[in-house]
Amino acid sequence: MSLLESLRATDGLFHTALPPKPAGKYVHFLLVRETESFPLFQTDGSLNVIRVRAGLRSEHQELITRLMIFKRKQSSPERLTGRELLRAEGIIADEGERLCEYNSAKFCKRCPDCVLYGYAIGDQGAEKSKVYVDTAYSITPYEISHKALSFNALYEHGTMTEQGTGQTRSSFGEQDHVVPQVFFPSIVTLRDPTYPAFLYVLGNLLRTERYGAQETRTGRVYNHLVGVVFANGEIFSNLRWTQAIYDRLPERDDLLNREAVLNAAQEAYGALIEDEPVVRPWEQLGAEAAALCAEVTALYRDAGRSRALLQALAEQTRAYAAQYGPDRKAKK
Amino acid sequence: MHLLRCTITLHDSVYYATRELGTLYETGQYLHNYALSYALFNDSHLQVAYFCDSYQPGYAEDLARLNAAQIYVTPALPLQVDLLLATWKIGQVSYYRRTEQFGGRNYPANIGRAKELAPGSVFVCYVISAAALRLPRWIRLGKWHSKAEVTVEALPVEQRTGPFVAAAPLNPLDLLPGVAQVFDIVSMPPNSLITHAQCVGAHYVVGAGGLPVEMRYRVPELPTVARRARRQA
Repeated sequence: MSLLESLRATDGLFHTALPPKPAGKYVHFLLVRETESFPLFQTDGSLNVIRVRAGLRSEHQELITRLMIFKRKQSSPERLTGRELLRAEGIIADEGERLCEYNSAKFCKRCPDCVLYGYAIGDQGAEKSKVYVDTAYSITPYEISHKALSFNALYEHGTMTEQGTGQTRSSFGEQDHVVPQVFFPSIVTLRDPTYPAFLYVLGNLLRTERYGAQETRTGRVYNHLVGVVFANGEIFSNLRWTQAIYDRLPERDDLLNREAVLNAAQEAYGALIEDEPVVRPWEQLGAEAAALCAEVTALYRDAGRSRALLQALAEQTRAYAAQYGPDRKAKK
Repeated sequence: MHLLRCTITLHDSVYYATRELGTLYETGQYLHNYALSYALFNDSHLQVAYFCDSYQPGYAEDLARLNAAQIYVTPALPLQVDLLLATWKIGQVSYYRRTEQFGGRNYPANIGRAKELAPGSVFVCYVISAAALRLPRWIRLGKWHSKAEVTVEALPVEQRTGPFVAAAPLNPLDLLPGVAQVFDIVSMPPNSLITHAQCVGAHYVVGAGGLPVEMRYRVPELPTVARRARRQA
C-alpha cells in the first residue's frame, strides 16, 4: 500500500466533510524555504528585517538582524498557484456561474481557494482561513544574506544614451536583494483537513516556485518538505524552530550547507516537539517525508488523478458553502 | 477559584486596527480582553464558526459562554513592546487581468501601512476561573492570526477587602459600579480600557496590587442591534 493510501486509511486524521467550526484537527507542513535566485521580500523599498535573539541556547542569546518573509508573501503566490489549476479545470472562471475573482468583491465563496484560504467581503460575509502561514525568518543574519545590486534601464540599442540627442537617461538605481541559498524555516498549518484539502494545500506548497516582488525575473525559492505532522493542536513557532536550527549548525558565519540545514531542521524538530502538549497521531520526517512528497508529485504529474482530486475537493467546498456558508443564508 | 498569570510572547508581528488614520492603521500597545478571550478559548468554549455572514460581532452571545463556565480573562499589560511599520497591498492577478483600483462601498482601499507589534514583545494577562483550566500553549492573535506563546503560572488565591491598585488593565464594562475610583483611559475599540486603576472592594491579591473579585463579561446591547430589532418589529 502506498503512503498516501495508508494515510487516507488511518482513522481520525481527516474529516469526511469540512466542519463548520474548529474541530481540533491540525496538519503541520514543515518546510525549509531555500532561495535560488535574488528574491525581494520588502514592503517599503527595503528588505524586511527584524532584530531577534540568534538562538535558544544561553551562548546564543545575542541579538541579530534577520530577514523576514511576511506571511502573506508566502501564502499569496501559493494561493495563485492553486487557482491556476482550479481555473484550468473549470472550477473557477472569469465569467458566468463559476466566476471567482481573486481579492475582490467577486470572490465566489464556494471554490476550494475561497473556502480553504478564506476571504472577507465587507457585509457580504467572510470565511476564516483554514491555512495558517507565519512569518519566516532567515537562519543567517541579514549582513551575510543580502547584497545590494544596481540596475538600469537601457534603450533598445543597448546603452543609456539616447541616439541623436546624446542625452543620458536617469533610470538607474540600487536595490538590496536576498542572495541565493538563504534558508527560511516555515511551518504551514492546515486546520480541519479533509483528504483532498490536505493534498491541495500540500500541492500548492510543492508547486509554487516564485515568491516576492519582481517574480517574473527573480524570486525563485525551493520548498524542502522536512516533515508532515498531524496533531490535535498548534506546535512551536517559526521563530523558535529557526533559533533551534541556528543552535545546531556547525558553521553559521557564512552561507550554509543545505545538507547541514536540513539535518539540523529535523533534529531541532525532534527536540522542540517533545515540549509540545499535543497528541501526534501521524508524523513523517526526512526520508519518509520525501517519499510522501514523491507520491504527491506523481499525483500532480498525472492529469487524470489531479483532475479527480480537484473535482472531489470542489464538491466538498460547494457542499460546505451550501450547508454552512453563504448559500445557507440565501435559503432562509 | 483559580488564578493564572499568562505571559504572552509574540513570535510573529501582531496587527489590530486600534486606530485608523487615513491609510495608516495603528496597533495599540494593550491587548483587549475580548480578543484574548477568543484567542485562548477558540478551541474549547467559544469555537467561532469559520464562516460569518456579517460584520456584526457576537460578543454578548459568545462571551456569555465564558460567563457560564465562570471564566474571566483580563486585558493584557505590555511588559516589553517593539513596533514595526509594514506597507501592505491587496494582490491582484495582474498578469491576466488589468489591475483595478478598489475603494467601493463594500471594499477597503487596496493599500495601507500598518504599525504592528513586533515579534519578541511580551504581555501579561490574568485568567480567573472556577474550575482548573488547561490553556493552549500557542494562540493566534490579531487580524493576521499571528502566533504567540502562552506560559501559564498558577498564583495562590488570597482574597481581601479594601483599597488596592489593579495589577492589570481592566475593562470598565466588566466591573461593578464604584470599584474603580481613579484611573487612566486607554482608548480602543470595541471599548476603552482603564489602567493604573485605584480601586476599592473585594479583590484577589496579586503581588503588590490586586484584581477585583467581581468581574464578568457585561457586553451592553449594541445600538445598531437595537435599531435593527426595532426596524424588524
